[in-house]
Amino acid sequence: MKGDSLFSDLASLPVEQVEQRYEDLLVDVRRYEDERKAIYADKKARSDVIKFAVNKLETVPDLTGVSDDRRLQEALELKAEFDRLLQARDELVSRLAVPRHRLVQAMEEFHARLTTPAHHSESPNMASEIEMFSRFFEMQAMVRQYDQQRHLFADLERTRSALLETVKAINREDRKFAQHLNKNNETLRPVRREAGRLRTYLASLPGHDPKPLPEQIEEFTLRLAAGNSLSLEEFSAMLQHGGLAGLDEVEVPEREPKKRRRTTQRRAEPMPGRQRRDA
Amino acid sequence: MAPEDMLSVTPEAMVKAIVQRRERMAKEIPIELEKRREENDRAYVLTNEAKQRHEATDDEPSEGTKTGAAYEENETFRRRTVSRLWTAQHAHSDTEEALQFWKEMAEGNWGHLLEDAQRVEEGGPSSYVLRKQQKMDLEGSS
Repeated sequence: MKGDSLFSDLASLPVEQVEQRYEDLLVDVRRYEDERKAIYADKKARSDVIKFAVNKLETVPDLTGVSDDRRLQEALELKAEFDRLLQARDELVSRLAVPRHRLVQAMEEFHARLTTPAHHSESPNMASEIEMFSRFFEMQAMVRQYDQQRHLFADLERTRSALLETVKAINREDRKFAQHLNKNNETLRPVRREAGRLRTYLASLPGHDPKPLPEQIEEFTLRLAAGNSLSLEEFSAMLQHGGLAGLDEVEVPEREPKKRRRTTQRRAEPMPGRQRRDA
Repeated sequence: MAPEDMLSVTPEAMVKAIVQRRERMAKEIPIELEKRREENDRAYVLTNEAKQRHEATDDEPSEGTKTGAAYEENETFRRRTVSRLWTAQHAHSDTEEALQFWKEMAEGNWGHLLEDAQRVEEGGPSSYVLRKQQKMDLEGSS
């Protein structure tokens, strides 16, 4: 029988030994599930930090329970610094309104008009002189303000580059986590299968009620928690079965081949000696 | 002057340079004014003569056309010289007034002219921003 061949290796073993093996496997399954949860949490934290860094997320991501969060902390610190510098730069620019190079140009022009001898018809009148004098020294003060804040622009650029590099590095790490996750899945699957086999065997023995296997963390739950999206098929399976269990069984209705619509427009008569194509 | 040298220009130096420029103009403008007066007098005489000739040829239509054109031409010239004379006279009075003003400023009375600069130095908005704000307020209220 098929059932005999499935458990043939267990039948010859003492029940206690099978129970012990089942217990050991349960410990392994829990360990792998916990590891999977931790990987997803790390992956989600990385995803959130990247979103936060590019302003797609407004709240600062929570990094509690994330393993090796040095780079994430670094990204959050850089983002905070970048935002601070950006705000300072915006305040400066909105307070002065005119770019530095334009100010210097205008100062040169005003200085030349006020000090260079010219024919009276091309010379500014007294009212213009007063206005230009006042503007010249205001612009001088504005240029000084720009120069005093020169480090601000340099710091902003440096922080922007550093943040970008950190985000790239986190993105690379994120790919590594996807690989870890695949590896975890591949390792967990045969362990679960074997544990299930042992449990079925033990349950078939009279007077035995083995512990159930730990609930499998649904793939889509973790994926949604990590901020990933589901495909339409996965979403449909979830709605029908309350999970992705029946994903493979979801039938995709075959589409009927499109019928060619016949035109209502009159066609010209065929050339002599030729047939109409759709005739 | 190099662009970066603009930062080292002081109000004292600027006032001094303006006064020098104005003093130079004050020397040149009276000569110019005299030339413009002479030009205007000449134009006035020419126009007057042309007018009299034109009035004398009232009975001769063919001759009248020629004298009329000459009169028109001289009258246009006279008007132009009046305009030039007024410009020179205005420049003359403006220079005298400006010289007086900037000489007062040279004694260190320019404080009120540097109010905008002081506001910017103290971290306030530039007058460009204030004007923009004013314009927006006006547009908003209308």
